[in-house]
Amino acid sequence: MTASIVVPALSARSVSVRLGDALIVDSVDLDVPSGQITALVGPNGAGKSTLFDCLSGALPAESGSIRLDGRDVTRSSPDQRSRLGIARTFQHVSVFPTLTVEENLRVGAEHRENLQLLRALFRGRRADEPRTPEIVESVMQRLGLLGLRHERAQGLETSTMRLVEIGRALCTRPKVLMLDEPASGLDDAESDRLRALLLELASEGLAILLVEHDLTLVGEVAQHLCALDHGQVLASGRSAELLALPDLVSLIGGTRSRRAAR
Amino acid sequence: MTVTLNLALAGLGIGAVAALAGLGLLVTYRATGVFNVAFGAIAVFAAYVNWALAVRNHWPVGFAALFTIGLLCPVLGFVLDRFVFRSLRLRNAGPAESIVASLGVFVLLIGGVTILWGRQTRLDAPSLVPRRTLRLGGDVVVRLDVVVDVAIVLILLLALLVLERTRVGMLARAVVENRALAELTGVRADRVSSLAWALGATLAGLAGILIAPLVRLDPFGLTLAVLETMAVVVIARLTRPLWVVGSALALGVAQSEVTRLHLPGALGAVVSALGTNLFVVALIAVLLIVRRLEDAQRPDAGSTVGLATRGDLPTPRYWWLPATTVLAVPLLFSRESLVTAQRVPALAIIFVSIVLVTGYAGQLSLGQAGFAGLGALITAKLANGSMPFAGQIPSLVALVLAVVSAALLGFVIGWPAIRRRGLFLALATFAIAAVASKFVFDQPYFTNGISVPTLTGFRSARMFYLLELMCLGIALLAVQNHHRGRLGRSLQAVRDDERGALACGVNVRRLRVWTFAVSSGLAALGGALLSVSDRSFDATAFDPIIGLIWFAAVVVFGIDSATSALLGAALIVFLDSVHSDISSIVIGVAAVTVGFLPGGLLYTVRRVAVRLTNNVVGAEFAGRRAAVAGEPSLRLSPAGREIARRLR
Repeated sequence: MTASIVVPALSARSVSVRLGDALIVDSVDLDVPSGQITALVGPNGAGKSTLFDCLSGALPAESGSIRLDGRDVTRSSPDQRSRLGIARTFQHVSVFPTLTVEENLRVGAEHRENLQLLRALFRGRRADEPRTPEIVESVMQRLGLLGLRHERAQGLETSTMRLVEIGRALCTRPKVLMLDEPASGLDDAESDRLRALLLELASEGLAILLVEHDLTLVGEVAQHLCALDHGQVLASGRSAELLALPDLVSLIGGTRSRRAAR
Repeated sequence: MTVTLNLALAGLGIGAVAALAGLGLLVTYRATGVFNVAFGAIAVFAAYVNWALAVRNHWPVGFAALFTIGLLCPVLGFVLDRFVFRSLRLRNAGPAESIVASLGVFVLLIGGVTILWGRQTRLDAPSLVPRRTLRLGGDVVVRLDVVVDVAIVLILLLALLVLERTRVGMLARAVVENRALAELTGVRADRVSSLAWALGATLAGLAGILIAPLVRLDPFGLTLAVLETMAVVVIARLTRPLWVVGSALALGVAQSEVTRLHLPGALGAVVSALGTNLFVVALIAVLLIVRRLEDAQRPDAGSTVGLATRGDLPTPRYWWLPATTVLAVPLLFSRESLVTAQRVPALAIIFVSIVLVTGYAGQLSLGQAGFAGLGALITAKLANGSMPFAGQIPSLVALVLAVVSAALLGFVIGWPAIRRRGLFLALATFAIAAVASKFVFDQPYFTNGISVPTLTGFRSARMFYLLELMCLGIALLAVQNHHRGRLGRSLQAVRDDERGALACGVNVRRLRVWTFAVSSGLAALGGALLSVSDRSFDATAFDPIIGLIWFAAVVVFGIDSATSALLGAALIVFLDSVHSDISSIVIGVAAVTVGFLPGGLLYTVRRVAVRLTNNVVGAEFAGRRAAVAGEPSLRLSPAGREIARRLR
């Protein structure tokens, strides 16, 4: 094995998060390298989603530091982090229901810079940068959303909403893509497409962090694994090695998809 | 020493009343989930009925009170629940709409009171308790009714204990938390919430009848006692009954002691205002300064998603025609009617500012009256040369400066206020309007001898009307820019899902403060034009209650449509010109039916029209949707047709 030094796109060092009196995440270290997929696994209540919220800025870290490409973002707000290159989806799918699919993606695409309020006020529509429509177009094409572009998001099926949410995240042109249980609510075929998409995105150099219950999917796509329990890191390392440990797998208590059971 | 003690005891009286009303409001909120803005109005209504029965009809005092509290109030509560709030609950309407509905109740009750018994102040409200005083040794005197109030506060605390600790109380809270789930476990939700409403109305009535003899009885004054109530409830963070009592008593005593201070000049005016308005100051201080008020609130409280209608219906081709006609026709009027019509564009600008901040940006803002009044006052003072540190300024420049300074003020106040969500933001904005009204508009120091200027170059009625139309045009342009393009999408995204918007990099806080500031500036513009068209600065025209009515009106006509706001303003001015009280009654009636009018009056009319005129177009539309989604066209079995027929 060649000794190449991988600089992680996103790295957390001894991050702790407290909700009320409870310490939900307890000095966790986590690296999310570019061009690879890292999975965050663990039983319910292990603190995965809390850590996720802390990394994306929705919750403040009590202690520790979070770096994005070497830049300290521990105190940055969620919107700042998004502009710096962290995109995320949510466990309960979050789209803008009254906007159309295309508008959902545009909102993602046009805030890579801070909103220039005065410019937007006086020039209205033309405040869009020239590249925004192209980004939206290419992401819609890639995710197969072109036919639905003028549909409002609130009537869509869950699986389509998940795609819109991922598309919106991609439109922010992130360095790190964080997906919270992207496969929940998807059937086997959709989950296959998702897997292919994730691998393709990673091969383009995106750093992907995944929270996922489906260990089969995790085993198929993730190079790295970080197992949490009670807010602490149980194990982290190469996913193939960790998933070979039966004790760990049963402790994580994840599910295996129907496809694997057959 | 004796003076201090006597003042303290007098303050204790006011404090006990605030504690009483505050606990009542808290009980209603906990038991029904509705922050009942009409709580004070129910109290006023009950007090008036009680007064009418006892003084006019010469019923025995005790009997009149028993009838009012024991029969009238519970029935009123039941009716409100059944016919106003039930429909909102059934379609899971957000708290924004229940606030509007309770505003409607407020407007109707107060309107009813003024129509039945007039606006004048009554000093002869009957007291349940003999107006005797107890001597506690030496010169220390305590009024007997204060003792009774304290006893009632204790009874109310007991009621809260029941709500928190017993089965019935638990059922009521379960229904508030999650009605559907409560029903699944066998709770009769309708019955529970009717009971809660009956109880809440009874508490309000009791409070009203007890307060009336302590303060004077007039339709608006007593309602603002609701500000005191709001203050203590907010200090208690809507959850802690003991805090209600403690803060009410403490503020009552402190307010009473402040009256001993006498200072000259502007400072003296402020201090003397403190002597009657310490609660308002406490309210705004808590809302602007304290961090983490929202913890106790349900997460969806204050969501305005239910009010949005964007894109549900195709925009009609000639959508601009009705509004343009309504605005253009007055130019053909005689001078006299034109002067009346001058109120339309001014009011429309204020309404449009509400559309911007609440409809487009999704923030409940009840304080536009404050900014409108400031706009009027600053314009007048600058143009008169009576503003300190400024000479006489040409009136048009004064107007522009007033708008800019109101926007800046909106920015400064907006920064801390915007941290609040939903209900607390609504209260904070209302408190801002109340402070402006109590500490500036009502103070002779600021408003004595104010004369409103005519605008140079726009003296004739026609020219002024044209100027107003121009201002309205600018306002509409600014607002439209917040509805389209990148800015519009961002606001819509924030309103739909704030977390998601943040994750997209939308700077939510800046966006909010910005819209708040722009809308404050617009409100000031409208207010200034309103006062110029009225030829006078009238503090009552910018009363916070008027602001509430404006808000209700905009929601009723359609909160996210500038066109609706415009037509609404025209309708209100027209009704006002026919008779002075009709417009508020119309707004009230429409507001209590807001449960049946999702999206507002105009939107409902359009929806019905679309359904009636062209089922054909509708079918075509549905067909296109189906084709886009790649669904095969629907084929129904006989059973399916039967079900479809029943559903229709």
